[in-house]
Amino acid sequence: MKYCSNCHLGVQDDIQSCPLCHKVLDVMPDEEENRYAGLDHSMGTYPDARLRHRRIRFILRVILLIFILAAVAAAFVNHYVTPNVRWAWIAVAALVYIYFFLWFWVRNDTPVIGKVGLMLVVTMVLLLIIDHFTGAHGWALRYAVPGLILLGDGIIFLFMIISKDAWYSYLLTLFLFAVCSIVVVIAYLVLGRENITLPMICLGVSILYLLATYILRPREFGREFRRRFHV
Amino acid sequence: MSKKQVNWDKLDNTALLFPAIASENMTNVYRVSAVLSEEIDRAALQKAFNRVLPAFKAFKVRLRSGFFWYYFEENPRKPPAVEKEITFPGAYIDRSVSNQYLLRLSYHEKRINLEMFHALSDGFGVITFLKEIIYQYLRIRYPEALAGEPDSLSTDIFLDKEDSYIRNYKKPGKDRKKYVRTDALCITGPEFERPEIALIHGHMPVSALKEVCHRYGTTINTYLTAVYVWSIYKSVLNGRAGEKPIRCAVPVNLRPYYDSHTLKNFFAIIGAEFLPDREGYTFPEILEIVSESLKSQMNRSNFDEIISYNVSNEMNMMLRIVPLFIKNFAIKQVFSASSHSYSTTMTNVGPVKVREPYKPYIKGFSVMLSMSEGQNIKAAIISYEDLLTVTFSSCLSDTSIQRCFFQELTKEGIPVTIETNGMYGEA
Repeated sequence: MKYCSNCHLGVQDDIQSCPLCHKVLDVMPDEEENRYAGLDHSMGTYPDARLRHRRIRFILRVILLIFILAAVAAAFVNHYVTPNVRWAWIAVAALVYIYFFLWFWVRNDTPVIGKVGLMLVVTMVLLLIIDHFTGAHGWALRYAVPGLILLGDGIIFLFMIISKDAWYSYLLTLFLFAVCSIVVVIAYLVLGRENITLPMICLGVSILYLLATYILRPREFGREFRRRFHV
Repeated sequence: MSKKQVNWDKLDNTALLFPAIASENMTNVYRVSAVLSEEIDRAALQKAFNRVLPAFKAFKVRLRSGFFWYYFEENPRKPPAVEKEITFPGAYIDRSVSNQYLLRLSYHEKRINLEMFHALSDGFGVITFLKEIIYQYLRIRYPEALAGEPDSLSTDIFLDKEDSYIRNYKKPGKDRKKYVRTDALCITGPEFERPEIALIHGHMPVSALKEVCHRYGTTINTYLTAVYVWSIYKSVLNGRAGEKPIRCAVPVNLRPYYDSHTLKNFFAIIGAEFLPDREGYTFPEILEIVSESLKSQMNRSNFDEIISYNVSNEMNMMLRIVPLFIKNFAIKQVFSASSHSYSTTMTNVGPVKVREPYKPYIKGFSVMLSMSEGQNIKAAIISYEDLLTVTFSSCLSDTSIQRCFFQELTKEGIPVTIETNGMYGEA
């Protein structure tokens, strides 16, 4: 064991200078050996986590740089090649959206179904905004949002089949999609849009799906909702 | 479809805070390590972990979000893989790689590390669990030498998972005390890039420390807290007067006060406070102030008040019906606003007692606290046999507080050895 004659303590690390005062370390003096007997216990070395951590951070920064370069390139091409159509904004928005979800998937430890649910809901909202700012033709409400809800129902069905022992875990997301489909139909009726077929199919599928889980497994259904909504 | 009813449980009163504020930089992970006499065998450790975890129902859970509250649900997945240590101590527990469990068991050379999200348990629970894993590991590793040992959990432990805060809650009177503290001195300086964290372990003989404490007529806990406060006073304020107090949070295990054996959190925070209202305080003066400060709070009636105050917020119907995402936002704001109430934390989990047949295989223990907002350095104490280990965890690159702390101990004649996790490097 090494010894710091400034701090008067033993240093177990394999280093040249004291981590506290930075004085160059001595060998343990003979007269101190007895006092330090029994203190040669070491917690052991530690792996270099800094290297791994910095590597991950660097990769994320490289990806960010690529996205920024792609956005700048889109704006540049748009400005010089097709100056009459401002499509670059959509490209930039799409890049921001993709980067956000890449980051969210990698950095967030929410269960997969939570990520899928959030991703679909955010996408629905984004599509509604895009529709609104590109002439309000109603395609988002008529096709895109109901389509995403049906996709969500399908993903939940798949998840329930895969993890049979924890199928109830997906009930809240299923419930969320049923609520979304009700909101879509209400919005449809309030806005007086035509051709309500797909939103109604979507509502029917979501409600029937929820109802089917209740009829087939009423006890687990009840318990899951009691857990989720306990006050 | 599921065959049996799934067990679920509410979070204890303290645990409600942690999921709302946890992040990669504020992990709220509690870590206890044990060093054995030989290199760790990964397969045997995994086997031991797989056998012990199912018995600890309080830890075999995953965290789920309800509409109003988080809750724990029995985790149907297999125990997470025992990992070779590759992250910083107390790093964020990524549930997507831990099978949704809120704990991580890792190893490095002769060391086993158990890291647990604080929402599950405090130091008492983590040490109880780690000891059982080690016993099981040693029985698998040395079947002949430990042939006389029953291949089951120790009979002196409890698997109780009651919420002792709720059990000991008394409705506060109208004149209920409010726990609003002024801002404390904040210890700042050049920092490592988050979430990098530096550790310094200091080992010393309990007998030598007891001798010094006896000389000062105080306990080990009070003495070490006073030395810590003194070190902050000397190295941050340079012995000058200051407007803000140095306030050190001292978590107290409430189990002995309330006859509880729960594995869930059951502790209260009291503050060792010292206001440097003039220059030139001496160490004996600070020891007296810290001692008085701790003594005045370390009693059952004060703990009753703390429990009542904390639990009454949880009991408030108006707060209970607030949706979780709003609660999370509010908790974050309140925590952030109150995070500067303490300069630092020093926890003492006390002596670890190990069953006699296993002692030759276990060389020592250490405990560490992760960083939190407003506190850039923390200390944790644990002792085993005649060896006491103080572990400083810090995100500051400066080590003057630690230097002052250990120099004060060596000045009193206590032999100290130190070791680090390599973050401070060479000068």
